[in-house]
Amino acid sequence: MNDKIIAKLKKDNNNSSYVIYREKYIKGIKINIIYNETLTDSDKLSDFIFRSLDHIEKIYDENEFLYDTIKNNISNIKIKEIKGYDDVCKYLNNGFVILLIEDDYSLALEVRKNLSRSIDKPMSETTLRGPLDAFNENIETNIGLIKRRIKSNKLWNTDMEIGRYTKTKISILTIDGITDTNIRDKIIASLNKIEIDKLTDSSTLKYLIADEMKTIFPTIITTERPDKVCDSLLNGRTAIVVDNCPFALIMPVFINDFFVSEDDKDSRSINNSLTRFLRYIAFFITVMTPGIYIAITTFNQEMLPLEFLTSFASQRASVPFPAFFEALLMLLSFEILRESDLRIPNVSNSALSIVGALILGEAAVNAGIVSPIMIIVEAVTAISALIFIDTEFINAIKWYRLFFMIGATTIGMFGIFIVFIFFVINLCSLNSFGTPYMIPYTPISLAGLKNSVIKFPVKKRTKRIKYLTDNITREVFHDKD
Amino acid sequence: MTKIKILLVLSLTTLLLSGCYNYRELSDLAITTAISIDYNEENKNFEVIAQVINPIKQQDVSSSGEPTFINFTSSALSLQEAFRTIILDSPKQLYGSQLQILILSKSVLENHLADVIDFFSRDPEMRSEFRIAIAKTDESLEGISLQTVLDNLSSSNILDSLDKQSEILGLSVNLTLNDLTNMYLNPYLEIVLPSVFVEGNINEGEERENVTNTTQKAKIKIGTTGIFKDNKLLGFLSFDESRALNLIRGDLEDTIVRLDTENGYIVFEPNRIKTKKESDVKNNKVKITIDGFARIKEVSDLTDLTSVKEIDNLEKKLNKKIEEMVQDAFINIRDNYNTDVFGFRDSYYKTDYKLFKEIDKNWYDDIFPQLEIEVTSKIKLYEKGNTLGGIEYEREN
Amino acid sequence: MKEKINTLQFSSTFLLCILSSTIGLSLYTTIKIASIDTYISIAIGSVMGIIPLFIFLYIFNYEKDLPIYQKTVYIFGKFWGNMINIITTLLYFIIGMTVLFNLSNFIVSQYLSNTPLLLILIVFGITILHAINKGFETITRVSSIFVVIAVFFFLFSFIYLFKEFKFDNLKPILEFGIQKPILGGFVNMLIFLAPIYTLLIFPKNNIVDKEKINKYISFSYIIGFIILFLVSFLSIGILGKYLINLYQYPGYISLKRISLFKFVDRIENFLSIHWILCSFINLSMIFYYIKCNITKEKNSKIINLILCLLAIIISYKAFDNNTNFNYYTYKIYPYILGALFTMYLIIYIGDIIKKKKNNI
Repeated sequence: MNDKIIAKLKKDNNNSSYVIYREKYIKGIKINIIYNETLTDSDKLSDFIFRSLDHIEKIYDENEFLYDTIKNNISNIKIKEIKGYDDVCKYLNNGFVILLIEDDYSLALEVRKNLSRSIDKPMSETTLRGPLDAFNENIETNIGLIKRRIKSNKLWNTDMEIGRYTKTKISILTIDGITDTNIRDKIIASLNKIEIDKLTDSSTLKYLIADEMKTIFPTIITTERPDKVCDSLLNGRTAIVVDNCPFALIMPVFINDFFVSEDDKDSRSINNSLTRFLRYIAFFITVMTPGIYIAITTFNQEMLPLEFLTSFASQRASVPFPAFFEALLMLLSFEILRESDLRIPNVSNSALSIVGALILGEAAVNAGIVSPIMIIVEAVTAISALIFIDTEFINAIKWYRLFFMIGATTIGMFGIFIVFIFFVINLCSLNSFGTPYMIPYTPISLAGLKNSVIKFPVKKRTKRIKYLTDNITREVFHDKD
Repeated sequence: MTKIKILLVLSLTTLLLSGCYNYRELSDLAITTAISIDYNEENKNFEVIAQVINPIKQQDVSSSGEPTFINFTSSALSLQEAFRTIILDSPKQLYGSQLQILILSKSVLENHLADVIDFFSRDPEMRSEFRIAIAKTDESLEGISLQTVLDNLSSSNILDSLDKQSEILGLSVNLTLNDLTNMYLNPYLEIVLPSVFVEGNINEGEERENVTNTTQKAKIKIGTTGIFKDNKLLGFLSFDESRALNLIRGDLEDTIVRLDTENGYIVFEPNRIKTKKESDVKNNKVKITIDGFARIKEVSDLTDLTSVKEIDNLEKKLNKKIEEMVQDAFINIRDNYNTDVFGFRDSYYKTDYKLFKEIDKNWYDDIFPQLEIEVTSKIKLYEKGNTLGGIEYEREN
Repeated sequence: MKEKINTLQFSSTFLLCILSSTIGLSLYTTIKIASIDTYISIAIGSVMGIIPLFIFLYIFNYEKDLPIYQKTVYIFGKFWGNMINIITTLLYFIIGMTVLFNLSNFIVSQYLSNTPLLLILIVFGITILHAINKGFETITRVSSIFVVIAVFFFLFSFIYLFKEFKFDNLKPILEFGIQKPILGGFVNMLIFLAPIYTLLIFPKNNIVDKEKINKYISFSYIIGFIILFLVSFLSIGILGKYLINLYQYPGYISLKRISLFKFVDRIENFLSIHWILCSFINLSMIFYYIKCNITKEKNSKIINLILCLLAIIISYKAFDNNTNFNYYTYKIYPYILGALFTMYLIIYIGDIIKKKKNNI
């Protein structure tokens, strides 16, 4: 039986040179030891398992069942009993060493090699005054980082394996008593219906479970920081951690989450309110400025005071393009610069982009292709967009920037109003996993408002948002007397 | 369903792309900042001068010889035709939203004011916040073509002058188109307008040398108020009368008053002036109360400014002088011109309309010549600047 | 209706439906009737408007589970109930066309003089189509955002226009007696309270916190009336008697006078967005009402599309130009509104009779 398994295994993986087969005889009974060299740690194998097998050989009594003896005496803490060919393959590919003892009885022992990086600083979400550890590719390390922060038994996890060839492990984390389990059930139901070849990172998972396929705005957040995951879990959200990917998913998402950063906890509530307000203003600047500039200079010139109008007229007299094409050209060149910025290796990063920006700006003005005021408009737009951390959100904003520009070119200021109405309708009709997207603004939620545009101090924010969870009390300062 | 959607989107794009209707590039606009209108009796034409900005960069103004504005003239039977035919020699279409000042001549005001007001209030592009003035002589109409130094645009020059003088001197009234329309449509109000005139030789003033010397050869200046009766121009008031008229209408905020004393004069500056009018229809009287604060600005006299009695005396004399100024102006206008530019007829109507309806029929024959005003001026003297006493006084003692 | 709505969202929709008549319709007709005493007639009209408000609240509180088209069937039986539904639907269609044409007229005559009217009608039609497709919950959420913008802009305009206000322009008060203001107030009340009955489409049981809804609705009514009153009061005080009769949109003209530090000078285009937002919510509610009466809550996109196309085409052909429309607004439109109110009065009487029958 075991020989058949070994033969089938060799046939399936084309006699791969990384799978090592070893035979050992214990008092005449053959044990087959199979392991995959790339995934197991041979030092541990030699040190612990073979030495203990030797020891077992000494204490083995022929009347007993070898399988039980090995199971009781092997010096490896994690043991799984397996039966059948499929189990053998699954555990072999997960980094276990298989002991095929007798017909139909096998043991799998874990001797995994540590193939992931050490815990490092986060790449994209850095803060000045907060913890600086980030997820890495090993799922157990990631969940360990979260469990370190939530030291309670109520942190429940539900595991699934996805992908025919990759069999990636994912873990859905909830907190019993706080989280609403609808989301978890929905995700499990929808994932059970899908059969997919591979799942190499969490971004693919994001698009498999998202329920609104036709919206522009992101409905799931990806994050690299365990403290953000813990905060969201304790607020009532659900988190998913995926193996081989350092990004965890959090759902559901509200629009206020894109304007919040982890550094906010460090400032006073009054100062922080000003910063939050600034971020909202930057949001409107980055979406509407090119459109408003085009509308004012081509349709509604009466809105400008006279000095501006003469200055703009003298600058635009030398430019051959209409305002819309000029704006489009500048946007295009800035986006190309940004894309190339992401591809260039780190060494020559900043120098090339500065050179590009300077030369493009200065030379283009002198050549008479664009006017100086357009460069200022574009610079303000682009810099305001850099305030947001989430790249998906910025990509969504770019579409709306384009729509505002089109609306401004066709009917001027009135077109901007109409596109604004469309924008608000689209935002308000979004539901992210059943909860409205625009909480805390509509439907209004006082607990959410206390952490949105204006921020209240911690002692006054004692409740959770009731649309997320039913357990809304969060006892902050309980006077013990 | 998708076919219907595609059809709808296609039709919408054809509508949108077939020429964006109100789309005007900045380089297609000729920004008009001043307009002057005259009416020619012989060929019954409106003669129009429009002043257009020449958009050149600030750095290039002094280096190139181009003027900062250009004038276009045209004439036709109706105002619309006159303005449209300007396109025949100007490469850009006139754009009137930034209009700052409109200058009218006497014949337009007397006969064709309705046409002008209709033209400017019907067009949705024009904003009715520009000022209107009357040109004292027909030659002054060309005054908007003079080059000015402190402000590159001559229309900004006139506008700022007009705005500022109503704040610090109070010489002329400051009216917008809406005010003029109100005065024209209201049967109980008469029209008043500020005036502009040209000082100097206008032909030389149009040359470039007007701005390269430190004294200009020709300048455009704001004059005193012109008064009308039934849309006919009666004349222009004097310096004091113009200010008194402003005071009675309640538009005067700040001015200077000179008080002649035995050895010289003292100049006061009343400011934050508020005027209150109360009409008493039965007794045909209007009570005017003037409140405000005054400062001493210039002393060329031997009065002792440090004694309390002197200051009280000066205050009484100041108030008396103001009351006299107002009474003289009122009596002069009432007897010589016989026109009610003060708005008393309107305020009678608003106070007691029943009584007013009976006496309104012969306003200019019976009622207005008998109207009397009672002026009480309660201006407080509160400050005299840096120095305590007058220089001459300090020198003598 | 399976959706749940907040009291705040519902009452902000109510407020915006009332405020949508501040441009064009209500001010125009009231000024034609009672020229300088418009503010008095608006005050009288608001006091008279307590009766339709009371009828609204009564019908709203009766049979809390049913939307209006099922309530009429419940009260009057199948045939008469459906007749009443059809009549109110037709009347609301005419009202919807009027509001749509009024808004497009405002835009074409003040902002963009060269664009054809059809283009603006189509643009609005597309926006309303999009809003109806998304459902009632989205409309109320959108209106609870827009109410902040609209009230903020109103307050901004009031504060900066106060210094241009001259009390003299309002005298003489009540020169021609009190009958004209009363008539003007009555017509004004009809116009600005017409759209609120569209909110009956939503059954009361689906509102969270439904005990407080009556108080919130009355509060929105008071705010709406105060804003209307202030708009007319300030417009007349700034422009005076003769200019009010001269211009078609005196509210817009008086916005041109705002001048802040001489820099923020010409923002009347930007400030008039709040009229567009109010009218948009009003139109969405009217067309949603018509759609619900026709399809009984199935979300069918074809019927929405046909409805909007019909509205655009018929309103373009029926009112040819501005003068026709003004004549219609002044002479015919109040009778249509009166017919609408009698319909709801009939429903109210039916309610009372049915309740008495049930009690007996």
